[in-house]
Amino acid sequence: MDTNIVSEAVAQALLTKPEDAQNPEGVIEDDIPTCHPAEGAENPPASLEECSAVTHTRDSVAETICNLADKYISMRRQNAQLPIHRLPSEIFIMIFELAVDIGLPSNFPDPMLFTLSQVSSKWRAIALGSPRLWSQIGLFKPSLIDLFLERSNTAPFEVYIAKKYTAIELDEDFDFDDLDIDESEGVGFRLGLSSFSAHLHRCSSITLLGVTNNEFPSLLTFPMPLLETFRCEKTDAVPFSWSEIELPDDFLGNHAPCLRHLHLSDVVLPTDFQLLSGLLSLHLENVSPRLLVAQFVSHLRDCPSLQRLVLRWVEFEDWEETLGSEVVVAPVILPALQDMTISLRLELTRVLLVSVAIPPTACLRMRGHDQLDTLFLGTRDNFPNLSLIRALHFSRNKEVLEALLIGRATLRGPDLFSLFFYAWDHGRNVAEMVRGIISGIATPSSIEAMTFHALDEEWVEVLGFVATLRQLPALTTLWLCSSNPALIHVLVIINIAAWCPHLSELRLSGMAFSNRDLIRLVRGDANDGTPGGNATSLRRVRLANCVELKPETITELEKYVQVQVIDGDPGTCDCC
Amino acid sequence: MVNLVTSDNESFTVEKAVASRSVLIKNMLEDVGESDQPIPLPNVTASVLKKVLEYCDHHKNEPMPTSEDLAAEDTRKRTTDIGEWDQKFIQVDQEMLFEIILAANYLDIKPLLDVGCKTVANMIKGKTPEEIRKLFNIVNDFTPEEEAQIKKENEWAEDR
Repeated sequence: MDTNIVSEAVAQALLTKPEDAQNPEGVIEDDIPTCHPAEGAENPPASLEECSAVTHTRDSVAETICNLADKYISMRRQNAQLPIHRLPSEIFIMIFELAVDIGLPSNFPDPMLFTLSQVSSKWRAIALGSPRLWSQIGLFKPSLIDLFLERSNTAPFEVYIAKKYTAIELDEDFDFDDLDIDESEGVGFRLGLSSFSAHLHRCSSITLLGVTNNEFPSLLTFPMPLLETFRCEKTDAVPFSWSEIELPDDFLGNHAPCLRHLHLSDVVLPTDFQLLSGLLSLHLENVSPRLLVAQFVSHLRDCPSLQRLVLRWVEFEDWEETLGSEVVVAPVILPALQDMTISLRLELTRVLLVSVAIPPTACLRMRGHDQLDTLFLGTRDNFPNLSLIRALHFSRNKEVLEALLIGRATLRGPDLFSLFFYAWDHGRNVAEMVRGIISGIATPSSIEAMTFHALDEEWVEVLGFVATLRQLPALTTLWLCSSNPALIHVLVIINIAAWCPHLSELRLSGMAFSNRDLIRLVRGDANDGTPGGNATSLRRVRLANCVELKPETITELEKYVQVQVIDGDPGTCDCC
Repeated sequence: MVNLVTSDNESFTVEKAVASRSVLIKNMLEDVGESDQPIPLPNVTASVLKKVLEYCDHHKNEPMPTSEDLAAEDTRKRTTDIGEWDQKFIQVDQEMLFEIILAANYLDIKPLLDVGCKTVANMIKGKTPEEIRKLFNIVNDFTPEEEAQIKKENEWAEDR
């Protein structure tokens, strides 16, 4: 039996007569062949027996269809009564959008997308009726492109092109010609692009990862009236000798009025690279614009809405001239800027810091520089946010040291300034650098909170820590997380209350300290061991995931301060 | 204080800051002004409102999401992470979970609606269609034609 008949019967019955499930014959009657010849037919009339046989067959088929239709109608009615089906379709769509893991090109298509449309007829109708769910397309799967284009209807869609490279070992003898690019994938890509080209005007986002040059000329020169995001970069999987993509002079047909996010990494920029006035974020990495740094800064003036600016290893044409010289650039104010990240040569960094004034609530992120005194010489006025810094967070992640300066004393406030130091020179102790940051960038008397995270004895020595605390008379909160346990002992020895008289909260996370030291610190024991011999301002102690913390210690601490204990994995961090 | 009356005619007197987590109630209070009149909530039962108010009370001091927040969230890739307290709060049976979602939608409490939807999304994630059916007691009601179409779809999806 043709399964279409059953589906249509079920659909019609549900659509036209939902309350008349007991008698769906009328609905399907038109689909059943009749024994009456059509008017004007040349065939002679059928005999009575033939008519009877046809009628019998018709009735039998009709009955089977009715039974099947009844079965599906009954199942759909049963499903409709379920608690989950009380949710309206718009909430189902919200749930589906959350359940589908979108945004990762390697996941295209997320199997969840098909799973959701294969649960029941209602779920399928909702999933197929939601174009946004189908609006992310990876061009490397040509078999699915038409399906996604159809289901995304007229919704703007996001395109991902991520080429995969077979893993190879990069050794001294590596030759670029040995690179194994999956050829079948290349064919798929070309097929995908051809069926896709008629829909390019619907693109709202294009992401190109690891794609080599000249594979997609139309994608780069086609006017994109709806395009909001363009991202092109080399992936980590691509070897170093990858050839850069050259963006054409008529990039995006010079027509992308909605473009808000531009992320270009390892590309050759057009000769006359103009920034677009509506940009909200601009990320340039490993590029060499054919511009002088002054021209670039001048272009920034045309982007008043820019919220995020990332410049990493950008070489302007005049970078050599900027070495050691005083390049004069007319300053520019970016009133909407929230975040500026700079990883540039020291001289270029200085030029930009002099030229770009950022709003007081914006965060400046810098990587790789430790000559802060030189950098900030004469530029502090451009960074009114520095005077808002109330909290410091120093953290280590492998060989990277991060200094985070935060705008509120809560240690959860907005980041105002962050510094990343790669391959920190162990000859210089972190504490020394911390003091340099405190005196060079922040205002020491304003600092109310400080965190040391993952700074063991190799990274922070006791005397440096003591000297750092001496600089912070307004400190109210000290948070030590997975750091040198000897620091607790130091707090007892130096009588911290004498130096930081406002210190009211101590937070210890993932620490393996001496229980005795902690009790002595909280009681304010004098160095001669007299309990409570020193004044103490501590009011609260928060202990999270601390190793070997004894119950009797907590009981003793509770006599003096408010104690909060958080039991997680011993030794783990909870400060970041 | 604000007096709320549920569909099963139970009264709840709550702080204005708590009730105002609901944009629906907040707008009503702004429209009506200072009044002792109870606010009827014909779509919410007492047991559900009690849970909803528990959520509102816990979050009463948090800033309300602005329209910019909501617009930004729409364009951003959303995660299904749920806060620790919210996770415990939403550990209820399925029927209550869906009622909370419906109430959050009706009362216009976006953060609670998000928590509910994320919870359902997390229940679904990583499961097969059959496992999802089992989870929610859904019957497979696909016709043979639809099953054939699904089979074809799966072949396309697996084709590399």
